[in-house]
Amino acid sequence: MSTAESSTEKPAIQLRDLALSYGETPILRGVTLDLARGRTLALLGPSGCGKTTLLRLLAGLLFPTRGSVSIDGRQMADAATGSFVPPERRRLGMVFQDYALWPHMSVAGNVAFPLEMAGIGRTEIDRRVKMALDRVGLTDLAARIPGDLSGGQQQRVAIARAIVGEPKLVLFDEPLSNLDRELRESLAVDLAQLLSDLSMSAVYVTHDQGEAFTIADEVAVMQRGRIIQLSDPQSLVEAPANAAVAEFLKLGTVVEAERQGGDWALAGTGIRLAMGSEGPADANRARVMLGRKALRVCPDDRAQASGQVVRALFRGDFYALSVALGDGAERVEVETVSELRRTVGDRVGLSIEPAGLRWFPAN
Amino acid sequence: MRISLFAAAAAFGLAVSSSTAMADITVYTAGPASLIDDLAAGFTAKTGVKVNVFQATTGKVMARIEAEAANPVVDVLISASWDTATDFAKRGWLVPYTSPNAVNVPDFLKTDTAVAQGVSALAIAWNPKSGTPKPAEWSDLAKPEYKDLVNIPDPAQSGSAFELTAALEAQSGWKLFEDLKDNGAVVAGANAEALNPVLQGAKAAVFGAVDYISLAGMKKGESIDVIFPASGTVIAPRPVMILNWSKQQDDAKQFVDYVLSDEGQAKVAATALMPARTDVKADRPLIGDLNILKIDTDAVYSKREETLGKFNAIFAK
Amino acid sequence: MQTMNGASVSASPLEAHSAAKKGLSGDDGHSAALWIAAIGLLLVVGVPFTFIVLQAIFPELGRGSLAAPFSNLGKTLSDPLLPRMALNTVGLGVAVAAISALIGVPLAAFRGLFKVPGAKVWDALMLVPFMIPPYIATLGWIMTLQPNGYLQQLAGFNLAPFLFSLGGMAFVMALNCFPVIYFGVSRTLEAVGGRYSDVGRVFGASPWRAFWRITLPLSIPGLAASLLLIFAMAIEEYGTPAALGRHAGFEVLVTQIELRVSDWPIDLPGASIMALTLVLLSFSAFLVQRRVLSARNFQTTGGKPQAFNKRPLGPLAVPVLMFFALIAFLAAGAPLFAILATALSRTISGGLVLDNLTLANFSRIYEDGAGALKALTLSLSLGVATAIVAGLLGAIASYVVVKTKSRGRFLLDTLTIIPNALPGIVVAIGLVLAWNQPWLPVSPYNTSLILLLAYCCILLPQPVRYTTAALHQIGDNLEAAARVFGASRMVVFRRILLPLIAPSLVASMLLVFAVASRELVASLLVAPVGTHTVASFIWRQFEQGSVGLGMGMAFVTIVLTTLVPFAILILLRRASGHDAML
Repeated sequence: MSTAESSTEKPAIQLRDLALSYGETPILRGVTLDLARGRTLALLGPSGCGKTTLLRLLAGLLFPTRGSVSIDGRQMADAATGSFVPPERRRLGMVFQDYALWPHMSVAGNVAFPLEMAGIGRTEIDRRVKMALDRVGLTDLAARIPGDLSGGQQQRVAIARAIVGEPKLVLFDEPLSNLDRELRESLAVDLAQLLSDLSMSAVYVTHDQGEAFTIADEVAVMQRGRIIQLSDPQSLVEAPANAAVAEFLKLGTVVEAERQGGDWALAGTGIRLAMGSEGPADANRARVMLGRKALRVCPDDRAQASGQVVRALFRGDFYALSVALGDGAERVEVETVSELRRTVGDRVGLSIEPAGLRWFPAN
Repeated sequence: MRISLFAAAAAFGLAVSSSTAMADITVYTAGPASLIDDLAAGFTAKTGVKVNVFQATTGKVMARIEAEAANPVVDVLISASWDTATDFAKRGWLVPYTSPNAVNVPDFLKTDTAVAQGVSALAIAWNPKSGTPKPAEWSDLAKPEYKDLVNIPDPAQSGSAFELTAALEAQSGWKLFEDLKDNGAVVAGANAEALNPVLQGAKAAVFGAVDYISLAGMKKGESIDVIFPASGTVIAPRPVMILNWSKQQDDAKQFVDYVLSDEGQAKVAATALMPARTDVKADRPLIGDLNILKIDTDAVYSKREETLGKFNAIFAK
Repeated sequence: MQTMNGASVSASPLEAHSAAKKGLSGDDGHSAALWIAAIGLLLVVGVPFTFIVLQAIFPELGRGSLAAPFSNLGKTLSDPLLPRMALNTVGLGVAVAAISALIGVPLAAFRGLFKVPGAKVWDALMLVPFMIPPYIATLGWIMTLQPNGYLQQLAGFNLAPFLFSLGGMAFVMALNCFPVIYFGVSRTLEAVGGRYSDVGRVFGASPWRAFWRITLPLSIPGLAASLLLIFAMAIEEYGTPAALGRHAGFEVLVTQIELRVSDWPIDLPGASIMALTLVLLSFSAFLVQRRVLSARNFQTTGGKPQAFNKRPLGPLAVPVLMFFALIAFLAAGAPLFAILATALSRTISGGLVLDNLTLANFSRIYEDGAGALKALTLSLSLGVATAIVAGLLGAIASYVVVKTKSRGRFLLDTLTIIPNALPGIVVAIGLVLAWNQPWLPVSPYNTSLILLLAYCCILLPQPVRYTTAALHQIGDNLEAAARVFGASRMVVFRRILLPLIAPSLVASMLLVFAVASRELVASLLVAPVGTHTVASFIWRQFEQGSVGLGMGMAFVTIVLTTLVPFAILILLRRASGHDAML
């Protein structure tokens, strides 16, 4: 608690060394983070990384094995003291992947529920339910039963239910993953708008980086129960903290590099990547990410490397190419784009732009 | 909300039961239901003392008394088996009482602590529409005409059926029962259970039916005849007893007096039982008309398990 | 595999579940439910059961003495009859469950997956066997099938050899039990059916294969629960084995217990030991079912509500309807006919002829106002009270068992399964032993409250089974969502879970009502002196040889206990505006 009181504005969320294991199996291995008020945090990571567990710990649906959770300056759970605030007293909103709409209540009944629980009067409830449904564009469906609605409509009801009580914090558990792509994109934009309009704090679990970047102010990339990078979407893309983040975000191809003479070269090949001064100073080997801007297809005379096209996908206004550099055991596939049509088997020349390289220590 | 519903249900339960809570005297009886209802109504009309009745088979009445042994509520017990009177007297559970109305009850139907209310006898209950000749003797039912058509009440469930088994065995050994078994006779539950198939015609006769049930059926127009074999049968006097834990012993004694009064015995006779008093008329054969097989109850009941074991060995499939 | 609760952690959802509950263990609503369930179950089940165990150990318990412990144990257990009767009991239970499944599963499959014309009418007809007391139905079958019975009078032949065989006995009992499967499994199939089997068909399974490979396996927990219930019902049934088994030379534990209880000198300790053997049998069955359920924990109602369109029967319509009609006739029509025919006969020996027809038995029921009508009123009131108490207690108990991970959960579970294996007569003795102790300042003994306790104990498994199945089907996120939106456990139970299990709960409460209003064996033993229930009234008439009057009363009761639930269902449906009630 002392850390929370020392700051002038209490953070929306404070996690300290939060961990959870089932018997011997660790799911979450010690997460510490703060989220300022009014900000949206996305938890991004592959299946099994612990992001949903973290969300359920926030909701109070799980109790930590170690560490503590504070929301809005109030301690909610602390494994050390055993203190625990049950979910219904945390004043949260939450949207579930499977919507979790109560099938025996009407749309309005579902949305009114959090207000009823807060002991709000009937007329006020009616007004706010209408307002919330207006926000998600479902005013006309208030009297319907959730089972009659489409998936997108159901999720809008779930969103209305989550915001109607004006909670301090809204939790989203992969809310759009059951919807089709187009709906997902438009709903993500609507959600981002909604969250910024309401200036609510939110935590948003997803495995889709597009969604995370659309909605979140901050993104925590998780892997194997840990946060491996926490930053705003921009810096995440521009400065991934390590190769794992870069690979998960698919920012480019990560390859092994070694010093050859004074320069850095693609390991096992003679292909020169950069001058000696650009990579890590005191190492002979390193990993390097070739971002989308790092490699360009160019005429052979200006090429620093050449390789063979192994895959070519037409993407509307450009071709996405996979190019094999080197041969035999040392062959490395890299990704690049070309505005001209290339087909599999073509040899292409590549220029390397040192500014597009990201250096990481060797394994 | 749930708690209050629970409480409401509990309160409701008490309300439903309140009518029986203040008992005046409590009678447990294995006798006919219509008889005890009649006797209770008559007694209440005469004395103003209310009677609470528990009526069931002898076995269930006994089960209730045994289960309640720690906190008994029964004042007067009317059993269908004289053995109960003997047994309870040995346990010292009975109040010695000789009713002034018992003068005309023969000595063998009364002791210091018990007196018969009425007497039933065992008989052959035979359906005249069964297409079989009218039987006259127990052994007739082992004849081929009655192949697969005879029911025998289970001696393990009916005290009187047990006594008949023991008496006939003493008279002529197990041969009769073996013959019955070979002729397809079936052991069929307690008394009424054995009788019903005979009424419908599935069976022709009951070997050792309690007479008053069949006699009452006859009066109702059922196709049934009651035959008392000349070779003899057993009777089942139904003892009335006052229990020594009774807190209403005076009322209990009054009740016994009433059962043995002219009025009470007339009600006994109306249910087709033999009245205990020899001076009360009844429209049915009486003890004097029957050849009663004498049994030594002590000896018979001490061998009960052995007798039942042999009986079951014969009829087991 | 799709996990319905959205847990993308690699641990199984079950484990996630358990940790969630651990986190919530300190909370009031939850412990209130636990306490209500614990106290209620201890009172209704624990007390009589404990006294039966004590009685088995201390033969003198009835006299308030703990003398000579274990003196009867050796004698009863070494009885060579015991293993044979235990084997007979298991055999009968398995046979009844198997025949019930043969009848019930096809019916349930058609009802749950297809548009059966007149579905609601069939539902109503399949409820009727529940309303016919098994003992009365058996008596009806005897009067129909025995030589010179109604069948012979009408058609010239009889089926006595079949009726009086083990197969006949199991068949008659199954006709009484199969609706458990019909209702339980058709509901599960309805939930599982379209949704998952359609998926199977997309992946190339024929409808038939989709049923066998997908729908049926997903319904196994529901089917297992129903079969267990039937097995338990069959091994504790008294009337039918007593009436038919003896002819087939087939003794089971319950008839032997009854004998020990009603045969002088009474052997209460022996009966208690045999009752415990029964408890053991049923408990083993329960453990098997538990394994089945925990190994295959499907949540078939996810958070996403879905409508399911049943398939039309097509060319199968006629044979299927004939099958429904045949079963309805055998299970409801034939016994009712026998009951009514007997009730309308002047004399049994008169048979089915016109001049033997009389309404005398029915007019006697009304004339005999004091006796018959009072018994009816008491039984119907007790039926309502039992339905309320057992229904709510059962719902709360299964909630604690299914939806929480509290300590003592297994104890509660055990307490709810025990009555399955306790024959009514032993429950009654347990209650008498417990509540007739001389040192008790207040006791329900000798009041109608003890009947309520007995009925609740005997019938508790019904609401427990129904609501447990329903609760298993409710996705955890529906509860989690309500918690997050500010509902305490108590409120979640009342606002979310209770309405969702309401159809099952109401159905089970109506069943409890129907069975409680005609329960026989315990009524005979613990009814307060001077008080008669419907069943003890009927029983008394049979014992007195007034079979017609008894059958008349049976018929009136069956009609009333059938009409009352239907009236309630119709009222509920009007009130709720949708037809989720049946």
